[in-house]
Amino acid sequence: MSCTPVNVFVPQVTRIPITGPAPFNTLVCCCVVGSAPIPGAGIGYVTRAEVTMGTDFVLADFDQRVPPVFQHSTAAWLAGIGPGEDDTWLYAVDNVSDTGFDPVTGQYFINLDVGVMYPHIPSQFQGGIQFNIYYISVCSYVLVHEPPKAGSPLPFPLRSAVRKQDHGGKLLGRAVNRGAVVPFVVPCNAPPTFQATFVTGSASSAQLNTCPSQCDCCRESRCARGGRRVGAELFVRD
Amino acid sequence: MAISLDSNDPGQVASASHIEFETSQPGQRALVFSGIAIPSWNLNDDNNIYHQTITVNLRYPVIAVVNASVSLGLASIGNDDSAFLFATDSDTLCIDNNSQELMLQVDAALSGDPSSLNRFGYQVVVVVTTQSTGISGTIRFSKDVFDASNLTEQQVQELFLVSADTLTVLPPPPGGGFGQNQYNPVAYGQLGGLTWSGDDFSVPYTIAGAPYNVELYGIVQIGPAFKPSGQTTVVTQTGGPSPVGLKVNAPSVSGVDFRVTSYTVK
Repeated sequence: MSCTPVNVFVPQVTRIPITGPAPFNTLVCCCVVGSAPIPGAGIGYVTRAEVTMGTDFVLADFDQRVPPVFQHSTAAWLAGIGPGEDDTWLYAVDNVSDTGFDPVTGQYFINLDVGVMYPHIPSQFQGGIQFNIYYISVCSYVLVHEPPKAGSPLPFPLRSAVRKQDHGGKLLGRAVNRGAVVPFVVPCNAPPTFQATFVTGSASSAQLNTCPSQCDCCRESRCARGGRRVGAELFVRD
Repeated sequence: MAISLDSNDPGQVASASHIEFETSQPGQRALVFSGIAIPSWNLNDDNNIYHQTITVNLRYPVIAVVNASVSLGLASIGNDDSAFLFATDSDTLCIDNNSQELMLQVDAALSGDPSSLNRFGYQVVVVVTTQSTGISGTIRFSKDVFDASNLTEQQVQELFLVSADTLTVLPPPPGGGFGQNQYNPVAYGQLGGLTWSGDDFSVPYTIAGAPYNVELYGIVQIGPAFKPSGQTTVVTQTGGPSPVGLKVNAPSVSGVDFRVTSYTVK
């Protein structure tokens, strides 16, 4: 069976234009699966904690001087638990206690009240999995107001990508590395002379670029070192 | 026995919430309901698998469902050293024949000695045809009871808590005594802006989303911003029917008015 991949930008946040109620113009659906990194309190005891789940949703044109106006409807449940044998155990997502936007970055987050009593890890797992697994799935629908996009195919400005484009680069796409946005930018059409040594995201080896030391787009020291990753940006071939 | 849960009760459904937004079709609305239901279902038998239907009243009256998508997941489960099974097998979205409220029915299964299916999460995305249902009126009080002329807009919203409640009459306890009236809120109201004429203040209110075909009682509770002059405060209904009944062909009732008085016993 063949299929055509859907070209979805990552992070996969679905924005649906809506006409109301005022002041909202966008319905955002964001889902995340993450671990609840809370320690066990020993046999017979339940550890309770509030955990924060960050999402890939960043409010467009977030201004930290203005508290975002939003409404949400958020569900959560267990996504993965175990292993365990011959023991008393409990895994609990009790409550969606809070949601909001990070006051520095504008990233949407969800707080959960959770509880856990970890079981004893089965002896046959001792050579492999030596830790308890506790994954939670969260899905949130959020009503927000976001300014319309100004001719950009992306939901919010990519400042670093635009800066590189000013140097003659070309935006290819983006990838996510542990939540950080990594723009792929082509700096020049020069023949390759170095190869990036550290690659994250979906860039194939064929896309890896090398640069001549005389290339105006690259700093001399960078080329002299034989290539390296600078900040969160990768240089790839056109 | 089936388990029934009320999304208005935090003890039965944790973090229940819903959002709604407009579609391009007149008379239709799109809604998302989420929450963590608390069936607290326990048993002590790991030789059999037990099945149970759990119903969550989403407390939203509708005429019909156009489209719906439901997601479920186990949220709180536990076991003590036995074979076990936990399952939310299937779901059905339905409309209560009497109140026209949306109901989520979940078929669950459980086994273990002991096992607990304490909670499960749900998310319902639905497009419905609906119409505005509502109870509206005015709450009045005199300046002698409380001078509200200098309140901010935020403080006005904290003057009263208005709700539409059903009434359950509890029988007297065995051995004598009196029965009790227990009011259960099924929809909450919103206050409008404060106005006054002479020495009389009035605050309009609207309760939207109240169920059909149910006897409802308007209840006004004093909020933290209301500072009465007397020790005892009384709220009396001065207009409109009691109880109030909403019908599909008559979904709104207005003029359900109240007056707040206050006195000090000497």
